[in-house]
Amino acid sequence: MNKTKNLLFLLTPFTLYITVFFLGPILILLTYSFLEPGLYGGVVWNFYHHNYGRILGWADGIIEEFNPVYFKIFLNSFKLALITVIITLVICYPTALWISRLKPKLKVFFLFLVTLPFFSSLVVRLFAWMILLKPSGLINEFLLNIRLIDEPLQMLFTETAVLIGLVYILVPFMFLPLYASIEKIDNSLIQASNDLGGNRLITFFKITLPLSFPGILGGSILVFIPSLGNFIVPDLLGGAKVMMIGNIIEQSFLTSRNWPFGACLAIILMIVVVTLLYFYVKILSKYEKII
Amino acid sequence: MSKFYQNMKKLFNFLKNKFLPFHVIIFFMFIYIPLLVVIFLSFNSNVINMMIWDGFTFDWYKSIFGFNTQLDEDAVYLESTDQLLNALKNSIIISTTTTIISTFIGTCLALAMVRYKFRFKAFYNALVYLPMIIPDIVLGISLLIYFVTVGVKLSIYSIIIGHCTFLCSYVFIVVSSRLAGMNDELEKASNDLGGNEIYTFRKITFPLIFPGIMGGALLSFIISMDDLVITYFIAGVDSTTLPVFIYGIMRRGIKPEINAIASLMIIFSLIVAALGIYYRSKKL
Amino acid sequence: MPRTLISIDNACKTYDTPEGGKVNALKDINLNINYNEFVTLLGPSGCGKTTLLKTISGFESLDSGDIKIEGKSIINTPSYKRPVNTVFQNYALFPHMSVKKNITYGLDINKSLDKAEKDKKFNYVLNLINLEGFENRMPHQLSGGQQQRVALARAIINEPKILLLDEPLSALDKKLRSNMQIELKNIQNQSGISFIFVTHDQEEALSMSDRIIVMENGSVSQEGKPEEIYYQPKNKFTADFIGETNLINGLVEEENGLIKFKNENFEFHLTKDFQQYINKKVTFSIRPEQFFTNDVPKESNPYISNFNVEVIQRLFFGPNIKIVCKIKNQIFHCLLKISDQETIKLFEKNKKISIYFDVTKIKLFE
Repeated sequence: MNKTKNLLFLLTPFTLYITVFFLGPILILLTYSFLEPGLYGGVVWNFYHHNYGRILGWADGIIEEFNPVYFKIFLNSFKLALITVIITLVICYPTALWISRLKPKLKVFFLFLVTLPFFSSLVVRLFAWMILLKPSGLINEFLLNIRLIDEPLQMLFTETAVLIGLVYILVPFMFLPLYASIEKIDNSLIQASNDLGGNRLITFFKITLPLSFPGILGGSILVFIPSLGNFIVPDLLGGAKVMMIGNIIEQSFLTSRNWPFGACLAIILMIVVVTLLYFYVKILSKYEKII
Repeated sequence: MSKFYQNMKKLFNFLKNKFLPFHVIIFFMFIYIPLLVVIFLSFNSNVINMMIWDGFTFDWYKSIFGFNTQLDEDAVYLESTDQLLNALKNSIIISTTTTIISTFIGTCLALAMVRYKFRFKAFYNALVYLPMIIPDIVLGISLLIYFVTVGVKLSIYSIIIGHCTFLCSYVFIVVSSRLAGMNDELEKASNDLGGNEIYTFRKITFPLIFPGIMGGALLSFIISMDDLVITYFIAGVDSTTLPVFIYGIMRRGIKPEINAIASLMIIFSLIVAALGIYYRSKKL
Repeated sequence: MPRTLISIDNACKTYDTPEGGKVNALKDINLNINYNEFVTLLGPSGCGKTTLLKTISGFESLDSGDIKIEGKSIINTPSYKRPVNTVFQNYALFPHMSVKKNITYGLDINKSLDKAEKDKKFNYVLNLINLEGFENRMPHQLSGGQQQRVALARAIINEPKILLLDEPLSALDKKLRSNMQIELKNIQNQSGISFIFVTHDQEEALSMSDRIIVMENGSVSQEGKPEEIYYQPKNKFTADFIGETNLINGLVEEENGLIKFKNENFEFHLTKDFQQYINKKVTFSIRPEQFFTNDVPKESNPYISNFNVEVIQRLFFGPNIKIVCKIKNQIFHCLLKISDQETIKLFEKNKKISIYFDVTKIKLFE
């Protein structure tokens, strides 16, 4: 039938492309994570599970040693990603709330204003923070000038710097889902709550906040996942002091040339992410049934 | 004591009534000041400390384009403007090509998913989001291993292939939301009035989703232009893109001429963003 | 003898519900529609009327059965080749095309027409729908009623054999709707096209149709002229759905050679015509306007019966007054004509009154 033919025509490009250039690479990544690392950066085509052992604790002890440092770095990445989620949430929610209460035309304008800086390049945005945070940077100069400090603070190459960087590049990922769900809340619900005697604070906690839960959840997942796997921000703003999981993956590929080990870390990272997504979808579908 | 109490009460009242606007001002300062500082400093003629204003100059802009300036040799970082221009050229070639490919694939998929019923729809729905949501670094290294294993030389072609894997999904999202917002009765009406599938697509569907397609294309152009992580892993020796090139310089230190490059990039992205938002705001 | 234009034979269609169940949207429908006829499919939402319309237009396929136009089966014809056009519920005007482009859309596809002919047709329908001077407007610049008329013009310019209208007036306000009803009827008369009109609004159906097809749960409940449907409902569903009616459950009994309707609240005698219902549980139906209050002497009409009731509520409508009254636990609605202010006082709350009705005019359903 004609319809089937059309559908086939429309589906084929994506199917082919994603099979060859996405599923294929992921499958090879998985394969690599079970191969033995060769001596000079190559691989030996043997089944070898000690890559995982090195991270999770069953290495053979000869070539590969179990090193809890990877576990710690995973935990640290989790911690940093979680803090990033909390900070972005705290700074985006009030702004989204404020914008959602504006007149339609102003809403569009402010939405444009919020998203505008994030169209500029990632490296540019991180560069801006480098020059703000460095010892002779703008913030230090300012603090020295107003005599709040006597000598420059070490702000660059700290965890705080990494957090600032992560927050700065991921703000729109929190803001947009939050705004979308806050904006959807029917104003008459707010009025109803006011009418029934709820003051602004009660109305916020009993009506607005619960109804914007899908946005909070969506924004959190959209911020958490990129922060977890990020290596650019810790690399530029954390220097050698702050290690995240992305940095070890990058190093095992480009510095120590242990590809199977890097692949193995990447697979673990992917499993974590997909698990998170699975729960996200489950929670969301449960929640959507209620509303 | 009572004065302290009064002050606290004032503060509390202020927070109660003006907390939101106050917060919004801080928020906008947080997102804008860093970029404005970069643009501002790009005109600073101070060679030794870029934080201290030492007069207005265009020298940094001149130097990145290879014009003669009064700057010292060691104040200038770029070995040659050619490197920069080459990276820019690569970036533009890559972004343009990926935009064309991913717009085509993403639009086809959106049409299939929104307008047809088929068995593996739920599977496709999950599959389309996956390349977008898995961490960049995972996609980047899996592509690297894949290209090396299969024997594809790392070049701008490998970058184009890599970008398209996730950009199709972005186009899909933009176009499919446009399609879903478009009443499918319009297509039925065209059918009913005698237009067959192709005629209906040409006269009704395509013109109406065109802003969505343009929006998706612009989005994928911006993302491709700006992609660092995936490109970083699959770029060959002579196929550096602009973000990777700048990242390389930044890793080695902060130099004032990056201000100028960065400012130009900010201006460029603002233009693209404004265009994109114009297209998105076009109503059905 | 009217000639059959379209015949639907044993049409069946089931849908899968998202929950995994099945819905019988059409259960073995048989229908004939004649040339130049205004037919209304009437029923509550979910009765299958829109599905039936979509199978005729070709947006839905039948599971089994056949649809023939002038004797030729069309079920394998794609919708763009069927001699059928639709006016959609929300008009489905192409938002990026002017009124003219919208209306001539069907003509533009057919390359065989020259420009002069096209313009002639366009001007004819534009005149028909009274929108001269609007040809270059865009749809969003038109009011709801104007959009409605453009949608109509866009369909009839192709001179289809049948025009399908899917609740086309539901988005209009009351006054506009009654104007459009008159216009639609006029356009149907002038164009000679058969109209199949889908609605859930019974007043609309009664006022416009040559024939009404009442549908319930995917089947035809009754079909006939509007007045037949109204005064001779064949079943409880039709009686209840079309117009307002009092439906009262009870038993028919024979006592001393007389037939009686009886329930715990009241009883009254029936005529011999209701013999078939003896000893059966029935529902009797009487329309509110079939009650009257002035006594008619038994000699002039032996079939008049009466109830002694108590008024519990009255609603004044201008020419009519509606009285809600009761005998014991049984509540009745009566619609009475009044012509002066004094009469209203007769029906004050808690007053005891007598209401009369003609036994031959009531309906009984098993």
